[in-house]
Amino acid sequence: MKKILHAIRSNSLFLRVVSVAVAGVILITLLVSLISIYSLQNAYLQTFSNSNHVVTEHIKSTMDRFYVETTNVMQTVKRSWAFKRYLRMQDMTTVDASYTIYSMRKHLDSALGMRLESDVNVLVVGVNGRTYVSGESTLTHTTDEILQSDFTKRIAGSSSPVIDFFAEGYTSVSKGKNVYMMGQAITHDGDDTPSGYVYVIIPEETMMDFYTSYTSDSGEMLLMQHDGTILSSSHSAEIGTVDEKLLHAVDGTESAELEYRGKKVAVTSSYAESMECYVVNLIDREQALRNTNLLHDIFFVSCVVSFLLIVVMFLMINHSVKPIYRLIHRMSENESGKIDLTSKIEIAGGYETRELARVYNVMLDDIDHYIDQLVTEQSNRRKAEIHALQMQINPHFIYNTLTSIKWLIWQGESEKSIQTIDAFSLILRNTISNQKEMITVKEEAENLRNYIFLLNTRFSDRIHTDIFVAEHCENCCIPKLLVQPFVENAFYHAFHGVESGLIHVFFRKKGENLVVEIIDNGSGMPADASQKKSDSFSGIGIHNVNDRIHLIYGEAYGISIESNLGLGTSITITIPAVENHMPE
Amino acid sequence: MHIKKMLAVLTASLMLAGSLTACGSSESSGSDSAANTDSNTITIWAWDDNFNVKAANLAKEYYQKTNPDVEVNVVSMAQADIVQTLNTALSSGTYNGLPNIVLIEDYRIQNYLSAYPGEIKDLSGSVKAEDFMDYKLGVMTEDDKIYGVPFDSGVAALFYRTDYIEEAGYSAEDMQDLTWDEYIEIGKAVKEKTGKSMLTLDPSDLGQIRMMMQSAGAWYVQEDGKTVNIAENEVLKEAVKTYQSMMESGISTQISGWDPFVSAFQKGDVASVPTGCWIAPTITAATDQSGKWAVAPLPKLSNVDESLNTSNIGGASWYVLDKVGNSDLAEQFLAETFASNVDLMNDLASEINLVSTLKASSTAENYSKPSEFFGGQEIFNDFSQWTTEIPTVNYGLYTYTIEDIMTEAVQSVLQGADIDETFANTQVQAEAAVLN
Repeated sequence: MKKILHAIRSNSLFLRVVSVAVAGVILITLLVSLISIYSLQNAYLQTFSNSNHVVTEHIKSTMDRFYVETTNVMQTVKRSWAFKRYLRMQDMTTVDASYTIYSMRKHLDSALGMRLESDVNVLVVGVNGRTYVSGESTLTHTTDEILQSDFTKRIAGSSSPVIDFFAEGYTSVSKGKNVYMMGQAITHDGDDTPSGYVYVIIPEETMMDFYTSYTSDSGEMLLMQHDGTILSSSHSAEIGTVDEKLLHAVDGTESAELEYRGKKVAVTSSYAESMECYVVNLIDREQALRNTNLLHDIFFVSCVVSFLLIVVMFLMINHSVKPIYRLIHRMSENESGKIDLTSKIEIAGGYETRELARVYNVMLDDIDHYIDQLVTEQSNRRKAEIHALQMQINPHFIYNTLTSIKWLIWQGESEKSIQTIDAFSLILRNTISNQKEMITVKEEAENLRNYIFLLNTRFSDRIHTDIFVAEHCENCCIPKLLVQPFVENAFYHAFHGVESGLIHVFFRKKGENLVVEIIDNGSGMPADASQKKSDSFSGIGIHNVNDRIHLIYGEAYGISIESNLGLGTSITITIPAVENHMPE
Repeated sequence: MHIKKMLAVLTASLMLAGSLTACGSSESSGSDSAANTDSNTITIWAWDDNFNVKAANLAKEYYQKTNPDVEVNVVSMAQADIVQTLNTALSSGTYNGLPNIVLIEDYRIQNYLSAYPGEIKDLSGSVKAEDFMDYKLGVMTEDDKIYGVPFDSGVAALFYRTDYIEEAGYSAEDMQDLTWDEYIEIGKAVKEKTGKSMLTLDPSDLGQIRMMMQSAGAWYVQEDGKTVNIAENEVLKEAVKTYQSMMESGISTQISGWDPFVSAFQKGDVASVPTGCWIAPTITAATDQSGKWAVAPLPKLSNVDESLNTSNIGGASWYVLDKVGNSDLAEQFLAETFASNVDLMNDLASEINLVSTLKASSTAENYSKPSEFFGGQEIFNDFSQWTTEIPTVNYGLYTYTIEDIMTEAVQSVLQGADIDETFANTQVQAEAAVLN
């Protein structure tokens, strides 16, 4: 888990860029898809609705033509002299009857036409009980029943054809089937009462033929009478029922969108005035849309396109971002504190990464340079410090030495005073005029002797000093006035309350080091020995010497003091032994 | 680096999954609007619910006993519809909605065989000529190949009301082997004594005349089936003259169409029905008249020596439409039923009074059964016997076409036109119609 978190954090730049890009692509794809789907759906539904309307109009005109044909048939019957005779004449000779019937049939056949003949049944019933049935159908009701029926009465009262829906017709072709019947009274000039009635019986199948080829799973069609009775429908149980809701949707009194058999449908229709029925189209929008596979196609395309885009983006971003990560990785290698200033980062990648790498490298160079500068400065400062440390001569010492010389001269010890002045001038030369920081052991020993001479002059001879220099280290370098403070210190502090004392100074080599020992047999050094005496030579105390050594040679070298109260003190100075090959 | 790789894989698989589901579901919904040809369904078209359609349904029952997984649809349509639909479909080459098996009247089959070669299936493999009556095979055989399964005998007979005839003063013997002139005499008596017409006549249907022609082995065309034979056709002239005297004698009721024809005898308004034996079930449908009917041989033409007391009217056979698919299954259906099954024929005899043209059916039990309706007469024996005597006639291709013109001619003659003149005109008209 931690690993994952770490991985996420360490790649956060990449992740952020990628997530933004991916989110962008997905968002755009979604938006575009939604907008396309929405507008396409609307456009499609609009077109679908329009084409459906064209269809209903077409069906309506087919029905109108049908009406014209059937009324034509009825007209033919009305006009036919043969029918007139058939319906009115009571007694005819057989030959007459034969000819009449023959002509009747001929007239009707020519008006009916083969197509219409198979679609409908024509029935003529005379008030005299004579009947004519087209095709091979037989009557299913007696002529009396037919003549007395409500429908016939309605026909009798109307001059134009009457059309209505019935659960059953009058002939065998419509037995047990729903029919749409047209009827007209046959009246001949000069008569008030009809001599008969002509019926055109349209079985439901014929009604269905008008629209059935246009029905689809997204657009159901049906025929509805002007009063809402369903005349024909693929759902046969509904035929004959009155659907008020649908009627209102169709005639415009209510919204054209309603729920029909559990589905939301949009209703378009055309009204076939002649047949007094509506051609109704119920558009199941959802089904229509489903049939177009619009959603699926768009979804599929979107997925594929986004997928490709994301892959491409991923690769590209990865490629661009890689150098940055390499940079980071390299930089973090340098974190641990040990900056390897010589290991430069390779300059690669895009312009930005190259700039970063280049500047980083330049920075490394600069750091390197500054450090060098720093080092140089520090060493210079050190030199200056040392120099400063070494350059002091305490003015009191000069006064006191001059005073002692004056005392000697005053005492007439001219020999001694000359020696003292010599020693003093030698010392002065060595410290002030000689700018060199390092001198040879030999020279230092010489200095020491002069200094001791001075001290002996000022104070008594009771402290005797010996200086031993091992042969092999005569030419070793040693910082100026390194030993002097210890000797001075021993002189001033080591012999309180003691008659005489002995100080030995040894210069020798020990391995690679030069060791200087200052040993006295004095009273030892108390822990808090004050370092500075008012007229010490240089003002440089023991501690200063240690600092100097550290400055020059490092911490590995220095001073060690061993002191026993009452027995003496031994001071050991350890510095590296370096031969002085420089000319004096 | 790992996190990136993980991300890549995750995103990739998500996208792929998404696109595949979309792809899959869109495909699945687009696929099926395949054709409806079911390999185990056959459709049969026939007309006349009381006769042919019933026969088909019974055959279906028989067939499904041994072939239960085959679906058989029997569709009842008016003959005119069947003819029209077949013509339209076959001439345009569209087979959608056509049946596998169709009943075609014998008068018409020649038309189909010659106008649409290859459409009617050759059933020589399932139909053996010696199994069937000769006159029936004539219409469906070409180059020794049999193209259909013969069905019903249209043998014509004289159905009559024994009670009306008795009332008119005649007996059953008097009704045997009549000539048409004798028939007309009896009719006059019936009219006088009972007030009932002897028969119905439909001016648009010259069935009577066809029966008379075939009883003497004549037809509208010569034996070659093509040459129009009207002007010189003495038999035809004699038939029309007989028809005219029937009309003028006042023994007929003029009707138009099937319904009045049926209701006439069903209501007891006519004393006789001279027509094909296939009218029997329609007559027996009027159960209240049981025992009042009998069947006699058809009257023959008085002045024509060749005329016999037997003829044919109508009759149809079963044919397979070869290109509608499942034609082998259809052939098998017919082979197992109408082409061979005597038990089926036996059942059909009692159910619909079928007189089968399958020779073996005369051995069937019911064929020897006396009919209660017809006063105990063994009508099937009679029908079978008369069928064997039917003169064979080549109906040719133009029966109905010529008859349309003939109907006109007959009316002219009835109105008083000279028969020879009229027929000469008709000959010309017919020849012209036939040439087209």
